[in-house]
Formats: sequence, structure tokens, C-alpha cells
Amino acid sequence: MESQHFILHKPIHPITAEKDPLRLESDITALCNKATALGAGGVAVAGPEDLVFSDEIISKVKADSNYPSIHWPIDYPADDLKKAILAFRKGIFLYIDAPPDMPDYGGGPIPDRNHLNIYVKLHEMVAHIESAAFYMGHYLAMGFAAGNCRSVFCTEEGRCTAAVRTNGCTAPYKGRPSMAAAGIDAIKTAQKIRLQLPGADSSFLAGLVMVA
Amino acid sequence: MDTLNPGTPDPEKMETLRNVAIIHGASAAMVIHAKDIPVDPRVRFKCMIPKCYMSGRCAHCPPYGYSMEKTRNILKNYNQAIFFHVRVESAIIAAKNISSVIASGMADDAGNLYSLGGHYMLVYTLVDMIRKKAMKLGFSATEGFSAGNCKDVLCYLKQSCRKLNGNGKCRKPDISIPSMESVGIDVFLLAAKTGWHVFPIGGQCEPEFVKRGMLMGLVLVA
Repeated sequence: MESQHFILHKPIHPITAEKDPLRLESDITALCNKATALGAGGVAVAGPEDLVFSDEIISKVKADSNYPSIHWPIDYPADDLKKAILAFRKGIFLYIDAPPDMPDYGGGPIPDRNHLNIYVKLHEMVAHIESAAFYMGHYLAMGFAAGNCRSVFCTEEGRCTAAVRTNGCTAPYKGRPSMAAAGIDAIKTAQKIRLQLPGADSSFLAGLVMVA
Repeated sequence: MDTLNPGTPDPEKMETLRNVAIIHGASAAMVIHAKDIPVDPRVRFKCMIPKCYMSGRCAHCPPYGYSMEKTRNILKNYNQAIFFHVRVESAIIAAKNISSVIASGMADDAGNLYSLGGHYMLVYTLVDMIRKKAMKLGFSATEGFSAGNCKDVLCYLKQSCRKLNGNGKCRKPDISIPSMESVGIDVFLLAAKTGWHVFPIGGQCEPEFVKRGMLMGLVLVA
């Protein structure tokens, strides 16, 4: 059953050959407002120059692969994800608050139901904003959440079904790769865009939607 | 015609190829320059993030199929192309639940799955017809691109893509071709530049929200 988060953005805009900068600004503002309305603790606009990539983070994700999925670690040898992300002009960085006691689950299972729900909320929020951007005419919009989507949506599955060549993803409308799996340092990126993250005694999960 | 530059296809022959598309069912067709075909690394990722139900399940679909580099090299070898579209009524292409019907492979009572499949088949057929006509007209090489994934159109009743999961041999090598999007061609942008009104239609879309849908095909000739 689809979540109530998935409400189609209307009207659906036709795709234009030239991107109107004013319309892009207006769409970005609308998407930021949507993120806030959906429960983001903080939202800021990020350009490709603001994204901080780290090989160390990618290595950490690869090392933490006891619970592999199609999005953890990301392994597309024929394609360059960083290059694709840097082809965008604007994106939206957001975070949601989490309980202070929530550990960093990395790519592993999330046994605590409350913690799991926070991951679900972030994935749904990112998917919703990405979908809204798509129907605004930004058809290449690409969303990143946190953690391993298999830990969030496929806890009952023995393995990631999308990783099997004859099967598909069980949660294609919600499951997104994490920023970490894409090699993006969420904390340094937030610092660069001057987005105030929760303090040391708090916890949070961050997401990113590259729009156009 | 002696007004042509060396290596430039004869306009009359290009018009003949364009007419092949129109006569046999394309809603519109254009002669375009190969250099105007946009490629973008984000396009192939749109098949993988979020993961399309066919991504990784067909030899032509990302992460398999042509890399961006291969696509760019192919485009360099061609001068012109026939770019066409087949109109699909929004009641079919944006039918309620059509995405889940397609992904499940279970035919719906309204017949939208088979109707949409027929439109896709027409695109494959038109690409094939244009390529064959081009060779008869004396072109030395062609390359064809379709829409969607070939597994659902050409091997719908088979459990899996044989090239990927079987003995490595495609069941329909004569007609099976990659889609434009699977090789990184930004087909939406190309359509918009061509002047066609193209709408983003995804799984949440419904017929009343878009005027029409279209499936597009491309044949490069040299």
C-alpha cells in the first residue's frame, strides 16, 4: 500500500528545451517548503560545488557490506555516479531529527522499530520530493536518503531481490541509495551550505534530492 | 545530388526514410543531425536510482548495455538520423496502476498492458523498417534505438533475458535494440528541442493529468 506521502504533484508540467532559471528557483523554493511540510528539521539549497565527496566514505561503505543490496554499496562499473551528480545545477539538502540514542547502523539491520520508522520517513520524504520534482518537469531528479535501503524496506527478505537478475526491487517508489553510498559527506556538505545540524547531544538523518 | 557535402546524406533519401516512419504508423518524424542528440550521464542513472523494475534484468538495460563512452563514439560515426514518435493515448500510457501491471507482467482487464505493448512493438518495427530501407537506399551503416526495454516487448512470455541469464545469445538478435534512455540519450530533451510536447509520466500519473504520451525511436544513418 502506498504511503500518504505519495500525493501526485499537479499540474504536471511539459518538458521544456530550455530551463527557465526563474522557474527553477520557484520550483526549488516549493520543494523546500514541501520538505518542511513533510517534517524536515532543516532544509537548504545545495549546488554541485557545495557537495563534499569522500573516497574514505565510499571505502567505509564497501567495508561494511555484510548486508549487501543494490544500493549498498553502489557498484555500477560502466557509469560514474559522481559525474552524474555533478551534472545537476541545484539540489535540496534536508535532515530529520532522530532520538539521541540512535546509533549509526551503517549498512546493517535496524532492529529498533522506532529507529526503523525514522529511516522509513526519510526515504519516503526523499522519494516524495524527487517525485514532485519529476512532475514539475525536472525528469532527471535523483534522491539520496540514509542507510541501506535493504535494512529499511526488506528486513523480511533473505537478500536484496533487486540484486537478483530475474527479480525487481520490492520498494522502487521508496528505496533510495544513501548519500554515503554515493560518496557524499553529509556533515561537511551541511557545513558548506551553512545548514545548522542538531547538536552533539542529538541525532539526525540527512537526505539529498538533486533536482535539475 | 552534387550540392551535398562529402559524407552528408542525400536529403531526398532522408525524406524517403522519414516517410517510412510516417506511412507505417509514426505520429511524427523528423530528420535531425546526429550532433544535436544530447547525451547525459544522469539519464542512465534514472534507470538505476530509483531502480526501474527492468534495470539489471535485460542485457540492454543499465547497469548493462552501452556505456556513455560507447554511445558518444557511436554518435560520432553518424551524420543524420530519423527521430520519430508514436502517440499513445493518456488513457493507456497513464492508466491507473499501469506501472504495477507492467512490473508484475499480469495482464489487466482493461487491456492496457497489451495495448501499450503493441505501441512499443510498433516502435521496434518502425526502427527495423527504416534501417532496412536505409541499407536498400545505399547507406553504409545504421544504428537503431527504441523505447523501453526489449525483454518486455520481444520476450514477454519468457521468464528472463536469455542473453543475460541463459546461454548468452539473444532470442531476437535481428530486432532487439537498446532504448535511447538506456544508452544515455536524453530523449525527453531531444523531443522538447524538436518541438514535441512531451510530459513526464511516472507511476503516480493518471490519464486526466497529461494530454498525451509518446514512445520514441531513433535511427542513425551514415
